[in-house]
Amino acid sequence: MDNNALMIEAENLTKQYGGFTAVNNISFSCQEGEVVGFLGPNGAGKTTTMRVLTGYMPPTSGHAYIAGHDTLADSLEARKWLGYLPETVPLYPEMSVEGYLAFVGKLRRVENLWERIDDVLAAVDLLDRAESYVGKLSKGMRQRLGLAQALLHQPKVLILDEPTIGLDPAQIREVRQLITELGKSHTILLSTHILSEVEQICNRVIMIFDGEIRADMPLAAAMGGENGQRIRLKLAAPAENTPAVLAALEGVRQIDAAGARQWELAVDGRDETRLAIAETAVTAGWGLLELTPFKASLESIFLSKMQEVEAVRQISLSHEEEE
Amino acid sequence: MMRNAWIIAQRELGAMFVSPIAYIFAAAMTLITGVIFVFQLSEYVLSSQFGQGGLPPTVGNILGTFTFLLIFAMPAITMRLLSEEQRSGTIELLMTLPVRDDEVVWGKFLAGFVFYLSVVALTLIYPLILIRFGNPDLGPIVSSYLGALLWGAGLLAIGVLASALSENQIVAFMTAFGINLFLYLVAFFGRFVTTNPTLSLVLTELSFEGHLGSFLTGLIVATDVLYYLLVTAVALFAAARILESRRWR
Repeated sequence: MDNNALMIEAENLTKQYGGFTAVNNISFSCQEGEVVGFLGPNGAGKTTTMRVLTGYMPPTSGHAYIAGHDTLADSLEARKWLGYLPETVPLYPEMSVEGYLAFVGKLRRVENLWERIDDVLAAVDLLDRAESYVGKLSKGMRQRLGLAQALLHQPKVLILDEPTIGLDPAQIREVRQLITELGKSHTILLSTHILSEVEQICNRVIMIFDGEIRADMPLAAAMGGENGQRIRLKLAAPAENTPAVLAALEGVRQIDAAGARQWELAVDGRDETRLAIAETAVTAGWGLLELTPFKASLESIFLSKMQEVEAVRQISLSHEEEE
Repeated sequence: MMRNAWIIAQRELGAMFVSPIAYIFAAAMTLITGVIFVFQLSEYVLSSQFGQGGLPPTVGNILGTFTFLLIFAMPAITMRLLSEEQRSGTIELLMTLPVRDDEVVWGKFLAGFVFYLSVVALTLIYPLILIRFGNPDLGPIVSSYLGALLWGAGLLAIGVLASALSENQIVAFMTAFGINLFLYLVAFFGRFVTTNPTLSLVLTELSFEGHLGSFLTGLIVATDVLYYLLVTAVALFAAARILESRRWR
C-alpha cells in the first residue's frame, strides 16, 4: 500500500477526560478517495475522535496524522490539509456570509479568494444570501455555511461532524450529492446518526461504541459484498470451532455473531457456497435450524453490534455486583 | 505572525463596533473626563477672576482620572474577547485553522488596542482646547498620553488573559477587575509594610498605579515604560498558554 495515500490515520488513540475514557485505543486509517461513515450512538466518542483527528484536542495517548502530518507535533501543516465542520457550527452572527468566508479564507491564504467564495456558496446553494448576516440565517443555512467554510481552501481531507443535521429532506439530498461529488477527489470522514445516509454516500463504514471500534468494513462487505449476499445461520448445537470452520469455507467472506447460536455470514452469491455451509453444518452435527439469505441493512448490523456491546456491558455489570 | 493576528483583530474590531458596550464605554469615558475638565476649567477661570492664583487643568489631571476609570471599565471591553469564542464554539474553528494560539491572543489584544486608541483619541479635545486658549507645556501632554497608552495596553492584556480563563463573560469581567484592583492597590499595602523595607519596595514597584505618576508630570522613565510592557507581554504569554492548555482538559 502506498503510504502517501493514507490521508487520515489514527494510531492507538485514547482520549480521557478526567477519569472518563471517551475514546479507547482506536486505530484506523483512511486512504485517498475514501468516503468513510463514522457511526455510533450518542456519546460513543465520534465527536471526540474527530476533535483529536483535527488537532483541536490532543490525544491522551496515541497519534493522529492528517496527510502524514502529526496533528500534535506538526499541527499547523496538518491543519492546512484539512477542512473541518465541527459539531457546533462555528459562526460569527454579526458577520455577513461572505465576510465570514473571507475571514476564514484570509487566515487560510486562499488564492483568488472571492472567486472561491462564489464557488463554495454556489456549491452549498447560498449564493443569494452572500450579503446576509450570519445571525439571520436558518439552521439549515448555517449548517451549509459551515460546510462552505470547510470546503473553501479545497482541502484534500474533510472531516464533517454530522453535516446533514438540521437540513430539510431536499437539502439533505443536495448535501449528499455534494459529498458524493467531493468524494471523488477528497478523503472524507463524516459522522452521522442516519444509517441510510451512510449507505448512500459512503464506501466504508466504521462503527464505534463506548469509545471502541466494533466494526470497520467496506460498505459493500457490510451489505453482503459485491455480487454477494448475507445469510442468517441458526444452529441447535454449535461447536466451539464453528465460526472458524465456517470462515474457512470457500466463498465465506465474513462471519459475525448475531446472538446465541446464531450468526450472520457474508458470502458470495454462488449456490455452492450455501450448499457447502449446509453440508458442513449437517456433517459436523451442529443441528442446522435455519439458513436464510436476507438483504442486510446497515441498521441490522448496527443494532446487532449494539446488542453485543449491551450484552458485554450486562456481563461486566453482573460481575461487578458479584464482587 | 502579525498578519494572522491582524486578520483576527480586524474581525474582532468589526464585532466590537456593532456591540453597544463599545459605545457605552466610549460615551462614559468621554462624559466623565469631560465633566471633570469643565469643572476644573471653570474653577480656574473663577479663581483667576477673583485674583487668586489657581492652576489651569492639565492633561495629566484628565488622563489621571481617565486611567483610573479604566480599572473598572477596561474589563467590560475585554471580557468577551476570548470568552465569547469559547462559549459559542468558534474557538474550535480558530484552533483548527493554520493559526498559532499566540496569533489568536495577539489578534484579540490588537483589536482591543485599536479600539482603545480611538477612545483615547476622543480625549484629545481637551489638550486642543488648552492649546487654543492657553499656552500649555507640550512635553507633559505627550508623556501623559504615552503613559495612558502603556497603562491601557497593560490592562487590555490582563483582560485578554482573564477572558482566556473562562467561557463566561461575567467571570472574565470579575477576574480582570480583581487583578486590576489588586495591582492598583498593592502599593497601599506596600506603605503599610514598614517592618520589611524590601517587601515594601517590591509591593510598591509591583503596583500599576506607582508607575504612572511620572508620565503624568512630564517624565518618561525607562523602568516605568518597561513595567507596562512587561505586564503586557507576560499577560499575553500567559493567555496563550491558557488557551493552549484548554485543549488538554
